[in-house]
Amino acid sequence: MANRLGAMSSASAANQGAKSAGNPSRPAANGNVIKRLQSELMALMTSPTPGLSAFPAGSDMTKWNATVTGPSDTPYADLTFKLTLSYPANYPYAPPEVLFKTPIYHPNVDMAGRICLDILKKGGDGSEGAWSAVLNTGSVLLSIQSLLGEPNNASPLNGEAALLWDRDQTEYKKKVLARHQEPEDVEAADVA
Amino acid sequence: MAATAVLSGVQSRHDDVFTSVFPQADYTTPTPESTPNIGVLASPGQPFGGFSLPHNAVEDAVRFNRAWSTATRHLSLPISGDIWQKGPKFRPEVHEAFILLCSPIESRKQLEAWYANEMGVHFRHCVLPELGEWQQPVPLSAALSLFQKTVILLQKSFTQYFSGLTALIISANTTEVRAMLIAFEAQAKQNFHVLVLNSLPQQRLQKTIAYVMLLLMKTSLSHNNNPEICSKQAECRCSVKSDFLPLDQLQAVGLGGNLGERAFALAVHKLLARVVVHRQCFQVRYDTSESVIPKLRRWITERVAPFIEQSLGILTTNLSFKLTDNDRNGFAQTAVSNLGWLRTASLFDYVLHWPETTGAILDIKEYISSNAAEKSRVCSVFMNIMDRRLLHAGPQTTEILSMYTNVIHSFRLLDTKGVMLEKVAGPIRSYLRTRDDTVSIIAASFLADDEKGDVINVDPAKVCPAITVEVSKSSLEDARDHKMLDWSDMHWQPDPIDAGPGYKASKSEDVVAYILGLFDPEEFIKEVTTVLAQHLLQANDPEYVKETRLIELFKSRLDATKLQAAEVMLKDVRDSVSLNKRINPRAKFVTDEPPKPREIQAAIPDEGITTQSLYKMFEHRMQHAQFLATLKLVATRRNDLYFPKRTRLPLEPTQPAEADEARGIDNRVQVLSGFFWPQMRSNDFVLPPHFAEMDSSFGHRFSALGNQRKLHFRRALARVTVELELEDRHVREVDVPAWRASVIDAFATMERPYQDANVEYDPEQGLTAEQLMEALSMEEELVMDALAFWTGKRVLYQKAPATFAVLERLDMDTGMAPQRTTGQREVIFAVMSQDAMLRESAPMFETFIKGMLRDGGPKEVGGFMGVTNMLKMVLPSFTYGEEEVRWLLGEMEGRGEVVRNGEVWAVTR
Repeated sequence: MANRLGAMSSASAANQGAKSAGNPSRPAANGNVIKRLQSELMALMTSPTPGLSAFPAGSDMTKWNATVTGPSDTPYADLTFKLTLSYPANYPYAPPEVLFKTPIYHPNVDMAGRICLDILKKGGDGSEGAWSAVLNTGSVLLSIQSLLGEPNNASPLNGEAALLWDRDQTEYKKKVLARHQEPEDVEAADVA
Repeated sequence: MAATAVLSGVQSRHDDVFTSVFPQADYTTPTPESTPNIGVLASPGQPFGGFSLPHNAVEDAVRFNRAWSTATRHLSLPISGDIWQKGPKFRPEVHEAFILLCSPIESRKQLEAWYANEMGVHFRHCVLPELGEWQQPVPLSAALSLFQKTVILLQKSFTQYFSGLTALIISANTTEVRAMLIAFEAQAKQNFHVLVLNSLPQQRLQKTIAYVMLLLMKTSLSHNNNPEICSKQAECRCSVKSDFLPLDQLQAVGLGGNLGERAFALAVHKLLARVVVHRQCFQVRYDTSESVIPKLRRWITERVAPFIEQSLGILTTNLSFKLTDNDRNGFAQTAVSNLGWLRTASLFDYVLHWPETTGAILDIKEYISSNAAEKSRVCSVFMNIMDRRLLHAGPQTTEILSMYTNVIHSFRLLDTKGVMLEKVAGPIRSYLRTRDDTVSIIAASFLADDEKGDVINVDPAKVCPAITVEVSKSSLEDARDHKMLDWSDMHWQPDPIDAGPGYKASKSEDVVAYILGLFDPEEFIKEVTTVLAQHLLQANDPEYVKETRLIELFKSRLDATKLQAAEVMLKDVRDSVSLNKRINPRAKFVTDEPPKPREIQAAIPDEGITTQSLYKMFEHRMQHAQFLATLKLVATRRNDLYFPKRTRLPLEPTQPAEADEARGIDNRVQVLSGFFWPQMRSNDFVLPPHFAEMDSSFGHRFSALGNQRKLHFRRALARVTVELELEDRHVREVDVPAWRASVIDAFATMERPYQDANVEYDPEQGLTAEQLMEALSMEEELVMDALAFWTGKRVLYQKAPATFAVLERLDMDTGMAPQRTTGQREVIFAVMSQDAMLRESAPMFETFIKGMLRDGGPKEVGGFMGVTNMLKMVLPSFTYGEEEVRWLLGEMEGRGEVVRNGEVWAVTR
């Protein structure tokens, strides 16, 4: 009996082994992070915010993909942006790392897609970061969405964009559209 | 010629005259007679006369020629016409002639050669034409007659050829002469045998003789056959007699010897291979379940071997012929192998009808134990048949499962080490795993009602009785195995030296172990939990003995930690029993009476209770001091908490239960921990007001006990005993689901209970299903089920199409055939089916799929990163497979939310 069951379960054990081998980052994420992320996902799914969505990218629960639609009445209206979120092992005590995957022309986003946003920096004594454990994926994405309409021109990553935002909205919009690529077109190009 | 003058009859004399003029050319003619030697004139150079005649060579030659002539004339075999009458009528000089001819070895050789030639010529002319059939293949049907004809013919010619010699031998006067003649005869016989063998096709002859011998052996067997006596004696006394075979005749006409031996060997081989194993004495023993092989061996060595000895003795003319022990065993082994082959061919049927066919299985066991190489053949034969007869879409899963248990039993009998079982069970297992319903059937079978070893009232498509029986047997065995503290166990053995830490010294290599080993334990536990939940809710035994035993069994066989849910479920129902004792809603009817000590004891929970909270339950029924006194009687105090005393209280007169029932309704509530139970049916509907009251009062009491748990009543799970007072009869239905009770309650004419009575039953009008659905806010499925149930019970009837009314008197029945639909209707189970659960949570799954496809890009259904796997990963409650995902995607595609592009699904842009 024992060896029979052993043989039976060995198949699944091998399977798990393969999984963990494929994702070396997995052991870093402990069960609490996974649990938290699962409940966040459940919350996002059960009460979705229009224009925002996020979902785990693959077998690793700590890497998510997100989609943000540009707010209307801004130069980003009707544009879709893809982002990636990467959660650290001590999440939610440290903020997730968020990057724009879709090229974007924005004062607080640099050419590599990095975002300058206070809530994405770890808070605490002597630090200007505003991350807090009560924030979650949904609120992060909401902040990023509102950042599109209200850039913080005081600390720009893209100085040209900051200047242009204040001087010439029409030119700004033109730049935004020139830089933007619809995610589907990128995907199509990737497939081709 | 003169010699032939002895022949009587004109014809032969005429012939003689003819041949005297035209002598025949060949040397078969007695030549010297035809050219008489008249002597030679003395040469002139020779002295004439005198008595001292020198030895004359010419004289010798003449004498020799005369003797030759006489002897050959005696032996000659005329081709045409009858052979002359051999009798004592021969001339005396024949003897002399033979003595003269046979004394020198050369002339004897010549005479023998001549006689062989003579026989050959005659044989070819007179006998062979009649044996022409041997030149063509002999059909089996003609074999016996041809054989008989041949033997008769050969016998006849044998007599013809040798009667002359025999007569000579008989009339020989001296022993020397006789010996000489016998030697000559022997040589002539040998020549005859050679002649016969050379003139017939040997192979064909041998085969035909073998076949005829087999036929005759069979006849002999059937003559000496009395299976009834044999079966009484437990020993086969049938025998083959060698006198049924024409062995000595064969030997005489030259068909014995090597050819005969070979034919006999062939016949015996076929006898052992085909005839013996089919004999009635060696049929499968269904009565005693014993192997017949020992009997067969004894029969071969004691009855068949002597027959073979005797027959071979006759054939080889060596009457003291003996078989060696080795040979005897060889014969027995041949027979056993043949029997084994025969049994192996129908092994599948034997396994199918196990245990009645234990005898046959034991036969095969005996067979492979003497011939280990046959094991793999037995396995492969069995697997081939199994492939053809079992492992396809035809048989039901329960049939395959019961076959599987039979295979386990019978192959463990065949091979105790289980090697063969592993081999043949492999294909069944892998096939069973492909069937969707296997797990649920096994789980259901584990819990199927088995009160006294009988499986009763079960659906044959959903429960495999063989497993149920096994479970009831095995759990007992297992319980015995787990008595680790049985000091008087004389069969105790220490664990083997190489046993691992998890080693259990149980003989649990039984059917249950094999069944449980079929599947991934987790999947199995999940399925068992569902069935167990259903079972626990319906169980009537307050001790839950069977369920407890079953869970213990699982814990011993499977991973005990994974059975937490099952244990919680069991604890829930057990706690509910004591909870019902404590919060007895009947108590409110007896408030004026001081509680009995027993009642107080029942109210004390196992985990202890403080005086205050306990007294709260009884405060308006008795004085505090009195209460404390009673409490001391029934409880022990530890750390300010009271625990029930384990002592038995003196029996109190139990008050008749009916007294209470007249005033209220006996109500029992089961409190379940929702998290650990499978998802239940959660339909809600209006209960009859009594019930609703009771539920709420129970809720109050429950929270008054200091329980933190929130109660949520699952009305669809409730079961009610309904008593109906109709005009002419009394109907009592036990354990009716609550929705049926609600529906029938709506038809009640007395005590209209509904305050919001938007439904008023009027016997003249009746009620329609729609009215009921509205009034009871019940789903159509349940209303229809209830209506069908009560119509089937002949309590309601269809007054008009789709309108129902109470059948107050049976004679009111309008002659409409009562609809016995309850049986066919699908039973509505308390536990939700997987399908219903999927449908219920479909919107959430669809949201997840949409999010996944939007953020993760297009995906396939299967594969490591496919939709199914992703869903399972992010959503632990998703326990479905690709089939279900495809269904969900199909639904979403129908609403235009996703599009399909080949195998890849994507969100609509």
